[in-house]
Amino acid sequence: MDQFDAFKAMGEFWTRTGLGFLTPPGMGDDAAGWSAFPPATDLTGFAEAHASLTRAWAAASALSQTLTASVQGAGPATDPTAAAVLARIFDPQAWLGGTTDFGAALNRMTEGPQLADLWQTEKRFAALFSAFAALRRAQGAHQAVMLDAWTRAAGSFAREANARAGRGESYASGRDMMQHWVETANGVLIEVQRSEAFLASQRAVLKAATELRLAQQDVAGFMADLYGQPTRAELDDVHRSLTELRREVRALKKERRSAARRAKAEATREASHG
Amino acid sequence: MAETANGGRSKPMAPLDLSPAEMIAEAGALGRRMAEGAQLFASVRDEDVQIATTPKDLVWSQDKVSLYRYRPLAESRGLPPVLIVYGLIGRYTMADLQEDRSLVRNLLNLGLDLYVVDWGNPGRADRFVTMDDYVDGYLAECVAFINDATNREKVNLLGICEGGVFTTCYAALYPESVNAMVLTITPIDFHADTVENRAGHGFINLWVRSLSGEDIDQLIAAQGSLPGEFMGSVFSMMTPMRTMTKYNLDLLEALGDRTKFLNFLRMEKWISDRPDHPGEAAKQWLKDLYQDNKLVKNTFELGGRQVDLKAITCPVLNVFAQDDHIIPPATSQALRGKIGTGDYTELGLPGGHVGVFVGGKAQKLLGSGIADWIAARG
Repeated sequence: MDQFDAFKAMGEFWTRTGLGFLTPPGMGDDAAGWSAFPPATDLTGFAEAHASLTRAWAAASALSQTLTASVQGAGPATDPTAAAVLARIFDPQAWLGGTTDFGAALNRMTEGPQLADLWQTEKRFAALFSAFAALRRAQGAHQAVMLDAWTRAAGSFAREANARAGRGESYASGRDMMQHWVETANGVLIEVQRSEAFLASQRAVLKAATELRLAQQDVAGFMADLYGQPTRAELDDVHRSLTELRREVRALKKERRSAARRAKAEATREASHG
Repeated sequence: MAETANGGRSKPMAPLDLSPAEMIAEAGALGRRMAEGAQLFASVRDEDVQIATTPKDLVWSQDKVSLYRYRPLAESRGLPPVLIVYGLIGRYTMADLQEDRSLVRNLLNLGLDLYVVDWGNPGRADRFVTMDDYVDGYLAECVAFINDATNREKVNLLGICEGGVFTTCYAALYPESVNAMVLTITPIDFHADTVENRAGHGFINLWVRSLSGEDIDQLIAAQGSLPGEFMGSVFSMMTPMRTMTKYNLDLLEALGDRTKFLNFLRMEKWISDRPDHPGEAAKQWLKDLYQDNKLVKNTFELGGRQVDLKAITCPVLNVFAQDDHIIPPATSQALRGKIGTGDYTELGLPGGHVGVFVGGKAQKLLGSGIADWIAARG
């Protein structure tokens, strides 16, 4: 699910269930059970993270366009294909979604079954929604770190490229220029990946993705139980027992093998003694 | 803005200042390369990119674990058999990637009797399988089978990466059944990435230490395993721009040469075959070893027994890659002086983590280096 779809889906869900969820009929704030519900999602933090990312994105996009235009020289680009390639190379989007497979792998790990029709299980669904929002918030914070890295790399590259131009030197080919960008960006990325900010924000994404997965499994387990289907926890129990049984069988076989060896050695010894 | 000799102002030079003719020439070359590449793509068949093709026979299996014996390619030198043990991250096929880049073939051609253990494809059902099961269980069973089959009491172990940790633990727990041990690209001191602190090296060590033990427990509780795809993405992070340019610039480069292109595809095939790491074993790998560094401290336990490196009394050949960004050399070299034998040899080879096995020069040195060393200890 891409970010647009995710927000769209979240909006639809909110419209359909939000009012009823926040003001359940016949249940005021003091009603029994309501206080046990997980706290509502921290929408303030979510909005702030989103606004911060939007500002950083706007700045990075402007830098990307300037960079693309400047390496082509002043005036209109003479080659539309080259311009398109350059725009792609300097597109900060690649650093957010496509920098590595990490984000995609996490998404695949968390985007399990669609459980929108289970919203009546309020407590579980609220936890699920909170976990989803927390993941998006963590992803936003991580993207801000990556955007910062991109901006630094692009700035560094632009300074060097302009300095070369100032000395009357230019790249011999588009491939040469691209190679220089790759080296510059690689250096910055490797440095950023070792930074506290990167490690902390990525850990937060991993943690949030894991919590979302567990919240999904909780809802799935609840429904499976309701319909008499085996739950994840029950299957895990079976698998644990199976592993333990296999372990025991292996130990018994090992013991039997040792006993046979001892008996053989004993027989050999007796035979040699006549 | 630059000034001309007569003091007038000139048009600023652009960093990429190609004439229309130069641009057309570059675009034309690119177009030709892509057209040739498309033709090459269309001509490649599955059989062209087969990996691990050296003939072998299944000789033993238990649960998802299989033991194979390679068919000889040369006259036997009568040495104790060699068991290749890969880890649970990736698969042993790296040691037999293609005919002309195969440690397996190199060793067979040098007259060694070779076995390999394949851990199979652990799934969610294997969540509770531990490193104890792999080392004290399956690996011990493989060794027992080989000893019975060859009527010997000892084997030579050849551990690769995490598999090297398995063989190290096994040699410490069962020293009486190991004739000699070869470790390749194997971490022993998981915190020694800080010794050299080379940029881009040892990121996994740093990344795992940035997590808490609880993060790892939660990840395994949620997934049941350490998904292979997930570990693949962590590896990709170690070479960030290479990951971004791999399927465009690098592929384009490879498209100019059929041999190079097929090598590229075979490597891709190996990379994509990344099994999931069973959950409980992954916890031990990440928490006990990467985080708490128990192996080098002699506090790691398997099967209720302490893994004491001093208990390793067989000769040890420790091979590391000089430019290994995944297992930095210092993490492997930490074994020196920690084992209970003076017959310890280090062999540093040029190249990176995988390059040692598939790089043109390194893989030849690796094969002959291992065979000669084992022959001297037969």
